[in-house]
Amino acid sequence: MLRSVLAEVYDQTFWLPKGASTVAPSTDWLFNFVLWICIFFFLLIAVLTVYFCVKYRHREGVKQESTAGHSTALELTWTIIPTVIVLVIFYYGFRQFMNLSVDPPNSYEITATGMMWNWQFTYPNGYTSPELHVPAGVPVRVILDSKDVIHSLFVPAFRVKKDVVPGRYNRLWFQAEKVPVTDPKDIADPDKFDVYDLYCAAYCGTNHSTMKSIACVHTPESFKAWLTIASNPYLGHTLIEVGELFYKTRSCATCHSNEKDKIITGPSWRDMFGSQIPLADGTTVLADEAYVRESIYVPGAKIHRNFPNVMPSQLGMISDTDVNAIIAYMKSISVNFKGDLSQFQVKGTAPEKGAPTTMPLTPSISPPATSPATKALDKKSD
Amino acid sequence: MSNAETNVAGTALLDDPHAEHGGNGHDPNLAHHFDTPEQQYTSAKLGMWIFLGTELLMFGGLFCAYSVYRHNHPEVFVYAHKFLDKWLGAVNTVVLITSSLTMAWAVRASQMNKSRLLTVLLILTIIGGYGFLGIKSIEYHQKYEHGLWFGGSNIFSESYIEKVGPKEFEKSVEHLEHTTMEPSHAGGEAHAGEARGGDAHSEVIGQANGEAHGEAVAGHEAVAGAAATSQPTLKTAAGFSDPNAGLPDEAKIKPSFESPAGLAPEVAAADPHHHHLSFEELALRDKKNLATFFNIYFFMTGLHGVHVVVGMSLIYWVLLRSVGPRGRLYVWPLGLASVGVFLLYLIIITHYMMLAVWGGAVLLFSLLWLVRNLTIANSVEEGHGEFSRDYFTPVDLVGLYWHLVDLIWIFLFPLLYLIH
Amino acid sequence: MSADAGTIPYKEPGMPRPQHVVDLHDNYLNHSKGIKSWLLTLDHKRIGIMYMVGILSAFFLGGLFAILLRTMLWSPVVMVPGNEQIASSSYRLYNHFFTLHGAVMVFMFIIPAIPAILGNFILPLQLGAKDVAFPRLNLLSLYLYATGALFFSFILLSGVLHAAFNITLPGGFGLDTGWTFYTPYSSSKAQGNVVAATLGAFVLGFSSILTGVNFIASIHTLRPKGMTWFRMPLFLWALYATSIIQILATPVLAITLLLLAAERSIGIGIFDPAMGGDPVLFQHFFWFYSHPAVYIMILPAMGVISEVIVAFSRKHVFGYNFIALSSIAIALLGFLVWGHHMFVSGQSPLANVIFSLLTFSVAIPSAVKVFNWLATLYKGDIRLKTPMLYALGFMMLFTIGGLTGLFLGALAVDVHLTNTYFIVAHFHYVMMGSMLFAFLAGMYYWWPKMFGKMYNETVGVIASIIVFVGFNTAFFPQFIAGSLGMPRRYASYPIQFVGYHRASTIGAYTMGLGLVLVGLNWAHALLRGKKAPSNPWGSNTLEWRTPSPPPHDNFPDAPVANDPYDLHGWEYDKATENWVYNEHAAGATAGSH
Repeated sequence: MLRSVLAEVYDQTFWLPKGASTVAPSTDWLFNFVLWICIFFFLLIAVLTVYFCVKYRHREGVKQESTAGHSTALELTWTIIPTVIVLVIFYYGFRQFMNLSVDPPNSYEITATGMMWNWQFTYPNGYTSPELHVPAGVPVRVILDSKDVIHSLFVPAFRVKKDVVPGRYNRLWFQAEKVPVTDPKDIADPDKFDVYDLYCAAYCGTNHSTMKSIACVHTPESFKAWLTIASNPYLGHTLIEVGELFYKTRSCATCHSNEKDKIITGPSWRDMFGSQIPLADGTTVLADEAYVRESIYVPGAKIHRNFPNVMPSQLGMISDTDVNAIIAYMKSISVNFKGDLSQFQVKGTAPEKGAPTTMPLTPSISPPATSPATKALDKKSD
Repeated sequence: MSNAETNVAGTALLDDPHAEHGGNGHDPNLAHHFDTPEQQYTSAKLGMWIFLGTELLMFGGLFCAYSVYRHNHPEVFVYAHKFLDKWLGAVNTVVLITSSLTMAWAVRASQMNKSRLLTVLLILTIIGGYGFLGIKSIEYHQKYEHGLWFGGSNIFSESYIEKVGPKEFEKSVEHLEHTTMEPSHAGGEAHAGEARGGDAHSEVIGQANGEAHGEAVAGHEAVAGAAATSQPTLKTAAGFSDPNAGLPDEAKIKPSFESPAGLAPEVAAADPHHHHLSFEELALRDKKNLATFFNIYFFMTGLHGVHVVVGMSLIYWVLLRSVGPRGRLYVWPLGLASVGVFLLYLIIITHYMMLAVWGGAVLLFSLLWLVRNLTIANSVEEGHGEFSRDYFTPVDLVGLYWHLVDLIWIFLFPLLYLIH
Repeated sequence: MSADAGTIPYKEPGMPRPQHVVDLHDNYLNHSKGIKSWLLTLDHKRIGIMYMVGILSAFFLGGLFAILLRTMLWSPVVMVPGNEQIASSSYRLYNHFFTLHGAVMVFMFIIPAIPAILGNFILPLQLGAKDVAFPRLNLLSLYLYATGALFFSFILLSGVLHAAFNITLPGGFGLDTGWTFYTPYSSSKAQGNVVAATLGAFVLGFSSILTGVNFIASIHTLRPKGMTWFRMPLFLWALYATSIIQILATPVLAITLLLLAAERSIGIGIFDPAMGGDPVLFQHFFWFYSHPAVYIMILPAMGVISEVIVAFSRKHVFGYNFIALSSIAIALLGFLVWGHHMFVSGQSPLANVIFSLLTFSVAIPSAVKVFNWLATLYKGDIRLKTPMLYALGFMMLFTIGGLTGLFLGALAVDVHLTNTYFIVAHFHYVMMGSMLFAFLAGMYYWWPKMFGKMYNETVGVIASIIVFVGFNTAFFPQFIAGSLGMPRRYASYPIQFVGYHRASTIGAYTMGLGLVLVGLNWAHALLRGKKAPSNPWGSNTLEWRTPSPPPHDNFPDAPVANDPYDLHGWEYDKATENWVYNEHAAGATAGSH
């Protein structure tokens, strides 16, 4: 009764949450195997204890009987039987653990970065999301990296867990399984996926208990579609929105404010587009598309008067398409732009579902200074 | 119950030490809960050995941490240990071994009832301890002067580099190498203490460092730039050196490829012709870790130093018990005076004048005390020390402790000073 | 009295009761008066009593934190936009609570409780000796314990000052690292006063080492004639094994904590990945001590249980040699299994496999001990007095705790279960349930000897049942929550776990109630208790052959050791409510034995 209620409400059995990976059934089998051994021995000991306490309880006139002070045969029996049992448990635990430890070479690779107190999952195309999305039926290797202290990636439904240790790359792998899709339309739908809890299991400070996320299991088709849409900001967003996203995520905002009269390192973008920019040699230049593009790619070409020439070139880091989005955003916050903004306020359309990603994908956070490969080489031990 | 049965369980066990009865009850050194002096001696000795075992285990943990770090970063140790003065370390080893000898002799003296000899030897042992501390202070002070102190006061530490900037940091390291590093080829003349500054001396080091010096010049610019931008692009010139290149000039001919990160220092370290690892040869990540070597050095030697001080105090305690009541009149103030003298000695090393106040005050007080005691000396009975061939447990145990302190240093010295 | 003891043949098993008149008014409690006579005493019994005061205060404090954190977990914190500040401070408070609960309980209660209180009081008495081998060292270790406690009091004060007046003392406030002090969180990020905590634990460790040195030397050199190694009471074997662990493991913890303190204050770099160090090295060091420390907690408990079960089933212990040697086996094997705390830390799979195998090997001697106790009950004359109830409770809880260890030793299952509430439940069953029950069993068992007063049996029985029920209500649901995936050390939790947490909290309160009852019973016994006879349980170990409470020098007469578990000859005397030795009966049954 309780079992079925639990299964109904929380999708779990009495002891274990619903498994959603290929290793879950064998781990669960081992868990239940040990469980029944434990129940047997506990009952054996508990029943005997209670029985002895009742049967041999103190009664007037009845004395204890002397029994053997020891019995080699008996003691050997209850040494050898448990030894055999624990060796069996060890063997199954070991075999299953080797399955957990050896990841298939063709695994799909996702980097999980733990930091106080959230997760970042970076996909092979460089896209980063706070939730873990994985395709079902494909072995997935998760490379674990920490920015600060020790965290631990734990997905109960997958029966996997591994510490995320700063200074070294740990990894884990699993092959997720999806609840069968009944409606064929849903197979490639990026919004149809199973959700499982994902936790940080190693205490990491004040908000440790909020360092939770979800693991989303897609069909491979759905995953592809999801990644395409998620990692392409133009889809479903207006050009202005995308430009604003780049402004925030491509470090523009660290030097350029978007407020009037607020100067950080470089000039503010507010009302910049379409204005006359005073240059160091006393001349002025119109801040048009060409000027903005040049200032992004060759920052030192025309330096705004009274500002230092410190901006690094973004050549090869921001594509022309992305520059267009940034320009659209600059237009949207400038009173000097007299054109029609509504043309930039059309949402981009999603491509055909399941279509491969063609856009040059760019990370929404700055990439780490060293790649995993060099860092792994750096760390000689292990 | 018969008396005989009482005795079975051990008469003395139940006897009050003050109770008048035969046997051992009269021995003032026998604690009331022991049967015989032998039992007491066995217990004490067993307890001491167990305690020494825990001390060894404690240092064992430290050695283990040292080993792991050294295993992970062998180049750091190869490079950084050269800043340590192995001659001072060696002298200190001799001093400590000598004091161990006098201590062992003192135990023998107490067993042979030679109380005067015992006193003299204990004093000699304490002087040995002071000698060790004195030399250690010279070393510590040199490290301090050179900016090789622990924590943020080390020029390799991140906070220092952040404070002065990478350019200045490079300069400090260069200066440091030229002034302090002990060129082993040049023999014992290049005493770190004398080696401060001086162009002539730099030349000696240049020759001594041979091929490494050549690379240092070649690689220097690249390093300065690399440190500034924190990019792992440093190995252009000095990263990989041809192990077959024997002559200094040839070492400048480099393979055109850049060696994989983290590989070059090991190659250099593993090559016996190349053990004069220079700063430029270290991987960037190791440069940041140099400060850790000094932190480990100070932690290990510091903890050992604490043990030396504890050992000296224990020897002093034994010394007090080894003389009679009249002798104690002299030993008390003289012991205190020795502390004052040591403080004054530290002024010579550190030029820290506040020490004069403390040292002077201590010395003055102890001298006054001594004078006062001299005046009353005749009224105090001469007496004799507590130790004899029947009771020498404290001398024995303190001796064991002192040998342990010595032993730990004998491990520390090669592990820190004699890495290559 | 001639001192020529060696020539008189040792006679056994005829072991006489002290017959001559004893001054009943002189005992260790009233032997000398005044606060100084307590603070400077070298008497192991007084030192044990002072330890008791300190350790029970620590237990009260740790229990208070437990109640507080269980109260906080009654409902999950709901994080809605706008209340992040409040939620965060609630999390922070929780983190300080669980850390202090763990640190205070482990370092100041569980580890020292049985060795320092019962061990100090009983060990010399069971040896028939006047004192431990080094009484001064014993006093020193008491003061080291007090010094360590001062460090933790300072942490507590800093936490309170911060919470109440927003004053931050140097070094940080409170303690929020977890009792395990994992780097690099503890060395670089924690807000708590890690340096004070590590130094405190360091000093407490030294107290533990000195006690261990003392016990080993005492057992080696102070055994009376007639007490061969294999005639030692099992409690002494257990203390001996414990002392071995204390002296072998604690120094490593000491240096680790010193390194951590240095790491935190000057940034030494050995554990800090930013300086090339290895944070996992800290875990290796820490567990090299802390896993054996689990056996420091449980071995003396097992010793107590062996004594109590024998006394209350009126039978010779079954398989004495095995129980004695398995203590030593557990102590030594316990050093080889520390890596099982780090199966998911990224250590090599080979290391994991070896540690898993070794872990299972420790399970065997523990299991066999339980079977031996069962066999001791068989055909006994079982009296369900309070100490016996706690001992039986121990057997149940230890069985559950031990069996659930099988899940955690099995590598693949451990990957799922580690760092969840399953672990929390498991170690509470072993460290807390078993150890606390054995401690209470021992306290009740030796209470008459320690204070010369009897406790109220009815209240004792009721309290023991409440504590047992409360404990299981508190911790059994945590097994289920954990295997369902509830991670440990969470200040808030997903809503599906609310039922388990509430059950736990109710259990914690129940248990707290039971323990309050225990405390009241003891207080009542001290003030109003009936005068205790010298041997209220009819045990044959030496401590029962001196008046209760014992005189200053422990024994008015020389005790003679024989088989400590041969209970023949002890007969109950209704008039004095005491067990008296009847040599005739002993001889008669000894023949048939």
